[in-house]
Amino acid sequence: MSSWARRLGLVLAVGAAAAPAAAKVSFTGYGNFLFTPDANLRIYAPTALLAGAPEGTLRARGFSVDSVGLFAATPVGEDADFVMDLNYRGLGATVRELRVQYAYLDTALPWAGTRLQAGKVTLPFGYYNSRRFYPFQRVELSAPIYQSGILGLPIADAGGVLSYRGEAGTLTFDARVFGVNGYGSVPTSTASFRNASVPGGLAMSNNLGSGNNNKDVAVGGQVALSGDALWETGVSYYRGAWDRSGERLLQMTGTHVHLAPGKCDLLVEFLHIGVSGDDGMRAAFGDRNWSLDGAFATFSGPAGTVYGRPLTGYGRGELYDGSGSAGSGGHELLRSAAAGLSLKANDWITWKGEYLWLDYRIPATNAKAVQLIGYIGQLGLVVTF
Amino acid sequence: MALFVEARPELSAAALGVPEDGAVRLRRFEPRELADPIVSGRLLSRLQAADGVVAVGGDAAAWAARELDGARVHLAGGLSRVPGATLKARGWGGSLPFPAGAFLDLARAEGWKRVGVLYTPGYEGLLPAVRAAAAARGVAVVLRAAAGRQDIPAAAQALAKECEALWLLGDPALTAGAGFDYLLELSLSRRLPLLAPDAEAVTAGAYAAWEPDLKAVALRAAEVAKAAHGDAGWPPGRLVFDGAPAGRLRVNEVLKRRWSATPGGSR
Repeated sequence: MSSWARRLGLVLAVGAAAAPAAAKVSFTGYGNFLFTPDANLRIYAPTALLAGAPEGTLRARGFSVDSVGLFAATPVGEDADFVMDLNYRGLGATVRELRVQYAYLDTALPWAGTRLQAGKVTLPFGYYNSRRFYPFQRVELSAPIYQSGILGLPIADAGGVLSYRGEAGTLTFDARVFGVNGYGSVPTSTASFRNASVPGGLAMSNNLGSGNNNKDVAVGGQVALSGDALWETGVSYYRGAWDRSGERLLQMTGTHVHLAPGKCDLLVEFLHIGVSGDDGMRAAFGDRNWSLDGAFATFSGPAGTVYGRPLTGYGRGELYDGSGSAGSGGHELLRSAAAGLSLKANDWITWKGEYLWLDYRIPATNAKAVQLIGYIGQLGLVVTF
Repeated sequence: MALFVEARPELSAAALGVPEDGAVRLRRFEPRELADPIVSGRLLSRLQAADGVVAVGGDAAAWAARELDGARVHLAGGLSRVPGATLKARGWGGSLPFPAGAFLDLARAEGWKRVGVLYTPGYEGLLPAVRAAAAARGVAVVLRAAAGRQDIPAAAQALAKECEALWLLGDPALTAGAGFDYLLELSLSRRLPLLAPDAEAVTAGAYAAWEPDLKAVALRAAEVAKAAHGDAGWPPGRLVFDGAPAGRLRVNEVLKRRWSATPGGSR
């Protein structure tokens, strides 16, 4: 065994043995509650692709408990914590979905500035995924549509993340590498990464399972440079085989720029996705190999006060364009815009209001395209505790 | 031991002489992240497990008072953000980042003969030092307690009748919210200089306030944390003035010029 490995093993063993005498678990949490005064969506698709969903105009109005989350944290070593998030979604008479968003050990390593996260970890991909996913982390009521609805936020998977942070004056350099199980195929097919059916087949989030569906470990990382909490820029990369044989590849690259001058905030994220051998999208793109490029930008700034409490206004736009690598088929297009206000009543309660416009289209060869067009007006209440 | 400080470049582990593998662990925070339950929960689990916590500055003090029930805490500055009743009930001590005579030196320089001191429960222990500092400077002090917010108007009016300046020696009941709004209104309407513990008060209209040097406060707090080993060396659970100033007195120059130009000066 090499000397560095012996040193690492000794330090980890001592660190684990030096756990605080009375380690306590701390619980905090949040709730995100929504009221939709009006939603007007037009859904058009071939019947075979609708999978039971109604075609035509869908109007909606009502209340919902979007999510309730419980965060637990406990020290398990001198500089090691175990953290987890239990997330309840779609609360009605029963809970539609119970997720463990993340559950991992976060520990310092012997080398200055280095840390290891091991367990179900949130991938260091982009800025939004790890720092704006929760409604209390962002000003906006809704998350960018493509990232949340199709890519699926948070991108979290079983594996590990190794990180390094270096500081020089007001500059901070972060480098992170990860190895995780990675995205697999759609649950209903081993030869499809996505397929143009509504609902569910277009989303990639369902492709992250509890185990690895092949012998390929997905890898990637992120490097970022930031200055004095005023700005940050970074580049992210993901690479992993998604099919059972481990031969068909998913690659993602992302770039983010974040500026926070004064009380304003600007975040821009670019995304590129490349997929090979995807039988499911051949019907849409006329090609098993496809790629997507797009970006979102979100801006927020002070908009006055209400009874002395700060009001923040925001706007967001996003545009994504996907097509087959051969360039002969149609395009997947997502355009959306949102604007709203956020009122921080105190440190624990935030009220939000938003108007969102969405236009999503994906072609289906031999049949008409899938289209989802419309607007959603929503009010939200975010409570943290 | 844990040293709980704001994450500023000048408050790094190296700058504060707190090595990463030492008996004192540095726990840094971004003020805007304290309301984030994920960040707050991790800080909470860490600080509750510590043998003692030395919290530096107003944001750290306010968060500690809200979250760290049951922990042993010493506050280095930021006391005006924590109710005195909370300090008393939990047996927490703390230090104000200025000496007892800091505001009284201003009084002597301005020619004020009598300074009213309005204080809240928990601050009685500081009064002997205030009296001694006043006597040494030939300034008279009139001391009045405000047991609660409802007592502020009567106490402040009584001091306003016989004093030439009003020093707020207390907790959020005096320094924030409706209590501070009332005192500020009284000060400006009667040209009674208001002396406050936090520099933000000058921006709001107070006559003078103490502007702490957070690095100097943090360096002293680090020494307190290093000197504490379990029960031995832990500072007593009472409030004290810092022996040497960590910061400077900030005077509202606009108010000073305006009141100096008015016949009769500030009173």
